Parts: sequence; C-alpha cells; structure tokens
Amino acid sequence: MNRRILIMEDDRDLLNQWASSFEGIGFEVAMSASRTEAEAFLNETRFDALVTDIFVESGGAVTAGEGGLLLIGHVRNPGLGFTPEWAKTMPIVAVTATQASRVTQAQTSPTFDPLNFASGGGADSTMRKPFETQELVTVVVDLIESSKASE
Amino acid sequence: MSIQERQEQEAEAMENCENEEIQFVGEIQPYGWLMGVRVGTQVATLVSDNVETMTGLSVGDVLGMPLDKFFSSDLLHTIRNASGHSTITQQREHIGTATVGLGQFDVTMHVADNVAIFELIPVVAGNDAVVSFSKAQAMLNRLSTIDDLNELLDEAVAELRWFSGFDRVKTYRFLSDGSGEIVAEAVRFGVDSFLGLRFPAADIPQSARKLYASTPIRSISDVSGVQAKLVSAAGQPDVDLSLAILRGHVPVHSLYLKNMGVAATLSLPIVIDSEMWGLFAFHHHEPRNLSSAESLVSELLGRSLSILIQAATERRRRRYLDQCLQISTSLFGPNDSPVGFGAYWDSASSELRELIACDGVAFVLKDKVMPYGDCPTEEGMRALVNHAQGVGDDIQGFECLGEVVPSDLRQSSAGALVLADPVPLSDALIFFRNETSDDVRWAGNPEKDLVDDGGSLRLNPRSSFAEYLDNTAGRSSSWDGDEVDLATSLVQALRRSYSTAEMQKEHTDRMGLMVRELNHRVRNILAVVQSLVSQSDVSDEAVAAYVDGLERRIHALAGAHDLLTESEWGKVDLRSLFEGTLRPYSETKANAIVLTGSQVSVDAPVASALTLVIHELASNAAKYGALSNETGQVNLSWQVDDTGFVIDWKESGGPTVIPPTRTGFGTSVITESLAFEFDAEVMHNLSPDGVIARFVLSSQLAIPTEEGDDVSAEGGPGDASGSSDKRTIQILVVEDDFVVSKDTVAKLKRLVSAEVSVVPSVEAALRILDEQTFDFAMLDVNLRGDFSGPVADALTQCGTPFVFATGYGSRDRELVGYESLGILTKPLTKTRLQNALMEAGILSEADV
Repeated sequence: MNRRILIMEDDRDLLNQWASSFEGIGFEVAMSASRTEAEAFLNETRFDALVTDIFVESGGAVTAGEGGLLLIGHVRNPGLGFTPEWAKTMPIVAVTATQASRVTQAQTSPTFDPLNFASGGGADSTMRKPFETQELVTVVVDLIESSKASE
Repeated sequence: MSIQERQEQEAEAMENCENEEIQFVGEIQPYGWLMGVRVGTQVATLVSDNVETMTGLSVGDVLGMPLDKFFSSDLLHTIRNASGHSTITQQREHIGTATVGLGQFDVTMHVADNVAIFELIPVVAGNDAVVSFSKAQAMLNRLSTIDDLNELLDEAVAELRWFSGFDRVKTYRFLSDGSGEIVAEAVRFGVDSFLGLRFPAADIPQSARKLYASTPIRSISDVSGVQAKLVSAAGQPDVDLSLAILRGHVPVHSLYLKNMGVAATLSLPIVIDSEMWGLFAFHHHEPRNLSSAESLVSELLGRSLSILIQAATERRRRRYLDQCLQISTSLFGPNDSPVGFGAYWDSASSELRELIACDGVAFVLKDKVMPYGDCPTEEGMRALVNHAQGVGDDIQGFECLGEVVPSDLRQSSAGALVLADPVPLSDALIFFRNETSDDVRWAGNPEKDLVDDGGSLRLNPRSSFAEYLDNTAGRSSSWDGDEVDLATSLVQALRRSYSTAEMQKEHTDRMGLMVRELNHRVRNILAVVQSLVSQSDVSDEAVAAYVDGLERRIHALAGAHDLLTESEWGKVDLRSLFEGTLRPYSETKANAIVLTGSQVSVDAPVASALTLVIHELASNAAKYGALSNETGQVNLSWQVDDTGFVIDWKESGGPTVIPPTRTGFGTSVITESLAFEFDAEVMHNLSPDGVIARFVLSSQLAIPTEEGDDVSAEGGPGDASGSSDKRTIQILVVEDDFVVSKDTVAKLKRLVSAEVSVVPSVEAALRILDEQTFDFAMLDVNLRGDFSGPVADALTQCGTPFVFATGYGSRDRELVGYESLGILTKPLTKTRLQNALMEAGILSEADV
C-alpha cells in the first residue's frame, strides 16, 4: 500500500514543491491550508505522517492561534474529540519560518520559540525555514520507518 | 578610410556594444533604495548610497546590520517562505511594507547569484493598488473580445496609454533581420508619431534583448537623473541586477533616449513561445516614477497581453494555414508523383503570387528550377539557396539581394523570401521582389556614429529620430511579420500536402500491383480451363469440334484480356484488338485479312464484346467461309460518321455460302451480344458471295486516339526456318501447375516426337540441368513465387534454346535481358508452340 502523508501549509509555492517531492517517491499526498481542513482529512482516512506549518494565515493575519500548535494538540489528545484515536501515535514534523530569538512582536514573549512549543505539544521533529525540500523528505521517511519498527 | 576599414570598425563597435554586461551596471535609479543580503547570513552586505536620503540611516549604519533591525517578524516570516519559492530567482516578489528609519517602503525581493536583493520604494499615499488593478481588469476585459491581431495591437496601445498616462505607447515588432517596426502607436495630442518607422537592429543590442526576454518589466523613471551607487564593505559590489526594477541605465542608452526627446520609459516585452516577439514601449517627456503597485500591475498586464497576442497570432496562423493548404493541395495533384508537379505549377504559381505580394516566385528543385514572373537566373537562385542553407533558418528574408547574389545573375530581383527545404527533393520555394520605389522610413539616419571611448570603439546613438528616407536603390520592400508567418504556414502546408500526395502514390502503386496480380491469376485460370477442355476425350468428332471452338474462344478472350491489362483496363486501340483476335488466322493466311480504319479506341467492356464477335466471325470464316480456301479474303473496316460507329466485316472469294440449318452459339454471339449490351444495330447477311456483317454502335463508344498515325492494315505470319535432328529430342518443361504442365506435354507430343521432362521448381530444374542436356526448354516465369531467372541463366550457359511461358501477358519487365527465344503467353496454342519449336530448330516447315 502507498504511504500517505498530510501536509498543512498555507504557502502555495512551498506546498506544491513539498507535495511533488513526496509524490516523486511514491507517497499519496493530502494538501491542506488550514487546521480545520487538516482535521477533516484525518477523520476521513489514515496517514503515515503529518507535516504542519505553525503560523498560518487566518482572517487576513498570520497567527499561531489557528495553526500547527493547535492541530498538534488536537491530534495528540484524541479525547478532545477533534481527531481519531489512531492519529495519536502518527509521526509529526512541525515547520516554521519564525526565528527563535530576537523576537520583537507582542505575540511572542522574549523566550518564545514556537518549535519548543511544538516539541512539547507532541511533534516528533521540528524544522526551521528555509530548508531544502530533500531535508524534509529525509526526516519524514526516517520517522515513519522508526515508528513502524517500534510497533 | 576605405569602406572595408569602416565596416571593420563598425563591426568592432557593434561587438563592444553586444558584449557590454549591462546587468552589472553597479548603479540604481534613485526613486527607491536597494539592499543586498548574502543568502545564509542575516546581515546586509550591500546597499545603495542613497539610503541616507531615503531613511536617515548612513551607509555605515546599514552595512552589517542584522535583518531584524529593518523588518518585522511578520515580514521576516514572509521572507523566509519566499526564499524557498521556486520562482524567486526568476521574478520579484512583493513581500510587504516596512518602516525603515524615517520612511515607509514597499519591499520587493528576489535572489540573484545567491544574494537576496531587497528593493524598497517609498509608499505612495492613497489606495493606488486598487485603482491600478481595477483599471487593468477593465482593460483586459475589453481587449479579450478582439479577434484580429492588428486591431488588438491598436487597441492595446490605446488602453495602455489610458492606464499609464504616458505620452506615447507603441508596439515595436521585431522583423526577420532583427530590425524593428512600429506597428501600433497611441500618442498624446501634439507628440510626434513614430508609427510605421523602422529601427535598426543595433538599436537594441543582443545583451539588451536577452535581458528583455527574461525580465517581465523594465522602467527608467528619469533618463537624466543622477543614479545611486551600490556599495559594500569590500567596495564596489559586483551584483547582477537583471531583475531589479531599480536597475540603473548605461550612458549610451540614456543618450539614445535623450536624443529621442524621452525623459522616462517603461517597456513590457511581448514574449511568445519564450521568444521576443516585440515589446510595448512607453515614453514620457517628463520624469515619471512607477509606484510599486503600478509596476506590479504593469508586469501582470505585459504577461496577459502576451497571451492575448499569442492567441490572436495562433488564430491568424490557422487561417493562413487553411489558405496555404488550398494552394499546396493544388500544387501536388492527387495522382501525381510528389516531385512531378510541373503540370500544376502554372496555376499554383499565380496563386502563390497572390498569397504573398511579389514579382516572381520560383520552385528550386534538385535537378531543375521552375520560375514564374521576375526571377534571377538559375545560377543566381542556386547561389541564393546555398547562402540560405548555410544560414540554416527555414524562412529567410532578403531585402538587398545584391549582398548575396552577383548582380549579373540577379536580373530585376532585389529582394527574396526563401523557404528552404520545403519538401523532399526540393531545395527552396522563393518569392522575389523587384526594387521598390517606396523608400524605407527609418527613425533617424541609421548610419552608425562611431566614437573612440578610451581606446575601444563604440556606437554613438544618433542625434535625430526624425523620419529618414533611405535610398532604396537595389533594395526591395521588406518582408513583414505577416508575410513571414504566411511563409511558415506555407511550408507546413506544403509538407502536409506532400506527404498526402506521397501516401496516395503509394496507394496507387499498391493498387497497380494488386491489379497485375489479379490479371495474372485470371490468365492462369483461363489457362487451366483451356487445359481441362483440351484434355477431354476427343474421340467423337462432334465433341472434338466443340472442344476446338471452346478452346479458341477462351484464347480470344485471353488475348483481349492481355490488351486490356496492358492498357490498365482503360481504352484499347481497336486495330490492335482486332489484330490480336485475328492473329491465329492471319498467322496462317498471310494476306487474307485486311484491316482498314481510323485510329480509334474502345473501352474495356466494348473491347471484350467485340473480341468475341470478331472471333466468331473469323472462326466461321475459317471453317466455311473466306478463310477456308486459298483465294478468299476478309475485309474488316470501321469508321465513325453521321450514322455512328460502324464496323464492317466483308468476306469475298470464299466458297459459296450455304446458310446453316440451325443457329449455334456462335451465331447468337454475332447477332445478339452487341445489340443486347450496347444497343447496336446488327446486320448479319449470309449472302452466297460471302458473309457480310455490319455493326452500328453509338459514336460515343469510339474514343479518338491522340496520336493520329495512319496505319495500313497488314497481318503476316511469323517466318521461321530451321532443320530438325533425328535423334530423340529432349525437352524440359518447368511448370508448377500440374494441369497446365500436363496440357503442355500433350501439346508438345502432338507436335514433335520428343522426350519431355517436367519439373515444378527452380531447384529441381537446376538439378536436372546438371545431369542432362536438353534441346529446348519452356520456363514458367513464376514458380510458386520464385522467379525462374536462375534457370534461364543456366540454360543460356549450356546453350539450350528456351522460351518463357507466362500468365502475365507480355508485361513482365523482369524478362528483359534474358536470351530467350520469346515469351509465350498462356494459354498456349498449338500455333505458338509450333512457331517456338521452329525457331528453336526442332521443327522445320516440312514437319508441319
């Protein structure tokens, strides 16, 4: 059976590049641009991995509120009723274009690094943009293999 | 200075110009500022020196400053995403607005040579983006309803001027020689018009063309403005500014524009199939900045218009192709060989001359040239074709033929449009034009002005763009883009028609082969039938007579079949038809049969019916009439007159005619078949002096033969002599059909006392020839698909006389060159066999 991956990313160009790389090595790819769309996919079918952006555009502003952090929270806590039980152990890679330090905006505290939150919330791996698409593919494939091995 | 020296200097200056790397100009236009960040570092590594006037920050402040000092985290977030975009090295991306120092800026970004280049242009107060987009939307809606290319270009420049507010917007279309022509223009009232003027190729050097093709927009806001320099910690940075909207201009370009009276420009390239088709050039007589929104929308418009123009050219190309297909179809006749279109050239050439206006047109084939109208000599055309083939493009326009073809070979032609290698076996289709009386309207004197720039020659832009009429002596009018498009379509159409014609020819050839094969089989079947008939028990005399009659009828039919096969079932010459039918009788009765009549042909059905009728008359004459004694004579004559197509059979000098007591099959053939099939009037009179028959057919059935050659009628027997040997004669028959071979053996044995060996194949024949010698051989041409040629060779080697026997009639070309005594067509008759044996020296006249 084909491996299946779900990607949540609101930048169309990056989403396309990543999707075609995964398709190139035989993945079926589901593409979503929002948390609610991603959750709908998860309720529909099983995936071998999830790649999620943290900040996504919502209502004209880029926020973390409706983005990857909440999605990860829902996936790892099926008891909340947003996503199915099987997804609890699905490998997750969180990606972001936000820098760890030198944060100047009010939405983040001086020590805020969204990737730390992502890891704390249950992401298996985190990556900071920009990166080569191939790096992402390698990380995802490794995660899927080690999670299969531990089953 | 000699002309040659001058030309060399011009070439050197051109080359200097072509090679200038204008994207590494190191300066920008000062209506915005620029900052560069090496990818991977997060600090500014280069900046334009106008940063202080724009922001209040000094160059020293900016160099080495981390990016997050300039940009918000939101903007940085967008920048990181954009850095990963697949098109970031091909086009600028608007990433947002930023407040840096004292100013607020629209920021665009792209990546060149691993440097992220940020261009920051002051934000204009007011909501100009929405205005620009709504104008563009309305404009594209209007333009997309236009079908015709020229109308589209006219409307587009009008709309673009309305959109941009520039003084002049023109469409510049590149011609085949690289020069450009203004094909559409919209100007503010009172501004000079350039419409219809030509700009020499050197006006836009190759380096600039390359940049245009990869840059969707180019603007110069103030031709005279002092430009800002780029600086980095290491001094003057070497950075590729191809895509930068702020890219500075080189002095020669600004001088060119100043001479034209232009203060600000905007150019939108028209790119079709990744090639520069032309460009929209905007001119303004005062400095004119584009806001970020305006430049982004203009870029979008340029791309959209390219698509609309491409669609219009495609529509036009389709129309041209239809037009050209009609002509090219008439050039290659359906049943003609693809290169044998000479017959159609007369009509097609005049059509070609209407398709593309010219004074002459010529088809240059490998072995000949077909000119029409005013063309150079053949030698001149070959010289032109050689030159064009050296260049290699399919379509090439020449406006000054004197540069390529020596004047004594040019005749009156001054220009040529060469369509090279349009179809196999042809070198070119060429349109020629004589010298024009209309001058070329150049935008200024195109003669190059050379200046010495520190030891290297460069071109100086001309000082005036006022219309300059070029002396057109020795030149033709130019081949415009439409004509080149038409020529492209014509080549496509010619290739298509050629392959269709070729396919049809192949089909016809295959048909011919099948018909021959079929004829061969019909022949063989007739031979088999005749053999079966002649092998019937003929002890009863009545049966013997019947068999003899039947055999002869079949043979007569086979003869007619031969003639028809030869004429490919078209028409048959009446005299040949009669001669063939009467040959068995004329062979023995030399001067007893006289044929008289004009040269007339008949078609296949008439030929078959006439053959049978004449055969019956002749066979009756041989049995009871004029051909049965030594004194009788038959006159067979025909003519076409007011009564119709009249054929007369008249016997005289024979025994007294006694009408038969009963009407046989033969008689009913004579009296009924032509009446029944062709509504002929038939008179058949068994008068005691001799049989007279007259057939009157519709005169339409007599087809006049083209070559009017009066033929006097004479049928004579083949003279033969020889002496026979008294030892047992050995004869070899090579024949694969059992029935036919049996019949042949029986016939041979009736004629001559001989030992006859029969073998069915080439292999068996060669084997028996190894062991034994023969006095005579008969070879079937086709032995189960094998050609009997090798056997013929072997026979020739041992000196054995032989004949071929074939079902093909006499059309077997492969038999030419063999030393046979002749070709006997099946079915074989006693007479023919006898003649062959006499010729081989096996029978003498005394034996017969």
